[in-house]
Amino acid sequence: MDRNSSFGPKRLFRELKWEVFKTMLLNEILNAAILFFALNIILTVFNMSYLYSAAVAVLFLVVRMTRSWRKSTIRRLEETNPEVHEILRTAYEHQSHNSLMVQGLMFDLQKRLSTVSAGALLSARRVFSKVLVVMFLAFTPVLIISFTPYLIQANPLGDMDFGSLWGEGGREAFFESIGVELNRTEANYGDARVLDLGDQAMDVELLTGGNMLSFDQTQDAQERPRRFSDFPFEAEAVEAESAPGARYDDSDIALINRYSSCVRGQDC
Amino acid sequence: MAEMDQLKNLEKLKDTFGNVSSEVAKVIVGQDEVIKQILVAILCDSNALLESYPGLGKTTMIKTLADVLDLHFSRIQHTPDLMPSDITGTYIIEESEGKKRFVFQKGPIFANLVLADEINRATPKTQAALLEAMQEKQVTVGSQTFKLDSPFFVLATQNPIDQEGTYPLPEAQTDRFLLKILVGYPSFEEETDIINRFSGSVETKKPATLLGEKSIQLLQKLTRQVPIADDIKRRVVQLVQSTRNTPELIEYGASPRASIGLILAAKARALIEGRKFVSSKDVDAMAYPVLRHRIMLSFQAERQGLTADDVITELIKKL
Repeated sequence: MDRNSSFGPKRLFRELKWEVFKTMLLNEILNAAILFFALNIILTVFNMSYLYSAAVAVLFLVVRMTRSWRKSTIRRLEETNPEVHEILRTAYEHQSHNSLMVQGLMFDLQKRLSTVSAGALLSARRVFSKVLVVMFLAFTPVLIISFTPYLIQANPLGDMDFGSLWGEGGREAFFESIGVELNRTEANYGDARVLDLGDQAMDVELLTGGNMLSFDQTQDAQERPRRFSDFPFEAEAVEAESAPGARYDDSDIALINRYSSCVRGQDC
Repeated sequence: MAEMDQLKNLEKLKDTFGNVSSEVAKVIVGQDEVIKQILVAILCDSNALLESYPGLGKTTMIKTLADVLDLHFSRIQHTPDLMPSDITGTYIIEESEGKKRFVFQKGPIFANLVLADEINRATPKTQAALLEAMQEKQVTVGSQTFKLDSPFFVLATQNPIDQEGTYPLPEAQTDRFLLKILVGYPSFEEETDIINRFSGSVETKKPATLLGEKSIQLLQKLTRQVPIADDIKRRVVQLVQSTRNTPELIEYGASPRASIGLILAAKARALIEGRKFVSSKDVDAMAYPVLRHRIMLSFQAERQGLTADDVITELIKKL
């Protein structure tokens, strides 16, 4: 608090309220962070979005701040400063009085609370403990993911069809069977969308650096004008895997090309 | 600026009361708590009843306190034949310029600090006259009423032993004393100091005069201004009411006058201690002198050998 400020009772308590507010905010933010990271661990196990835990944490913060603020400032100050409980209580109840003794009381209170700041109102040990908990919880999902090959995909809302929100087909199977599906495909081989890359042609340019690859030339195969060399590379591959010197006839190559075209759903 | 000066003066209050105690200590050895309680009674503009065995220096203490506070002191030694007019004063015939006329001769009650020694030896009629003066702060003789000096305090003493031929004060009259102060025996070291101080040839130091009538009146006003929190007030009321709701220990409990007295006494103690607010410690400390003469113990409590202070301790613990 400002040592040089006037000792008017209302101003004194206004300053005190501000200090208490700062303390409360920091405390509740730490609580909300603990809640967020704790929920996030659970959501990570169930492979759900962190936004759910963020929403709960924000709601928690708002509710706690509202409830705490309703609790009178004087009670909060008493809790944090039990040694000045009686003087605070008396001063708070007599802030509208203007007798010499009340002024003296406020003067005393101001001197006593001159060292009170948001920092002094907080228990450093408690804050430090909470920060440690937050840090631990923040890193826990990383550990869980690294040690858990199979992440659980679950719909926490039961029978309600919110599974479509995730847009994954395997979830229906999950509900139909035992309630929990182990998605080996995604866990072991990554996201299924990666498979789509198989339809794309990719020109990889080897640069002089040797270890540098340029993917700038990546272009969708369908967008590029077709060239003979695009099809049938399968025939070429077969030819390459054959014994050295073995050559296919043009008729065989034509047959393979036609087969390849059929496989790709083109005219055959 | 004047406001700041007043606040700075408030800060010096504790030192002022400390100086009073120091000056009294030049004559009286120990008895700090008794002196503090007498000061509480003075600050509350009330009266106190001191109870102790003979020879513990009550009279010397009060006389010294009157000197330190620069108050007009008088002593009334109560005996069974003491008449009310011996206290209040009476009309005497005075002759001047060849004419005789009645003139009111003020009694010893016309002082700032009156020591009513062994009040329980006076007859109820005389006691009543004194107690009325205490309450009304005035005396009526014949058809004339005389205001007493201000400030005015009565410090009455009584002896707890040798009750034969005494007239114990009825409860209604003891209730008019704000405090009943018990003066205990000195410790070994204190008694050694007492004999060294009073049995030698060296004269005791004369205490300096501090405060004065005006200062005391100002302090009395300040005492009433000491703020007290609502929960402390509730504590006082709970304590006083508990004296009426504990029939197993107390036959008759304290009146609402005790509640008022306890709050005032707690305020005065806070002021003496240099605080500008009443603490629950003040209430607890003053509960004994305020309540001990206002409760009548039950037969069961007396059979168990409990004193009024033991019972008050129990009541405070239950709060």
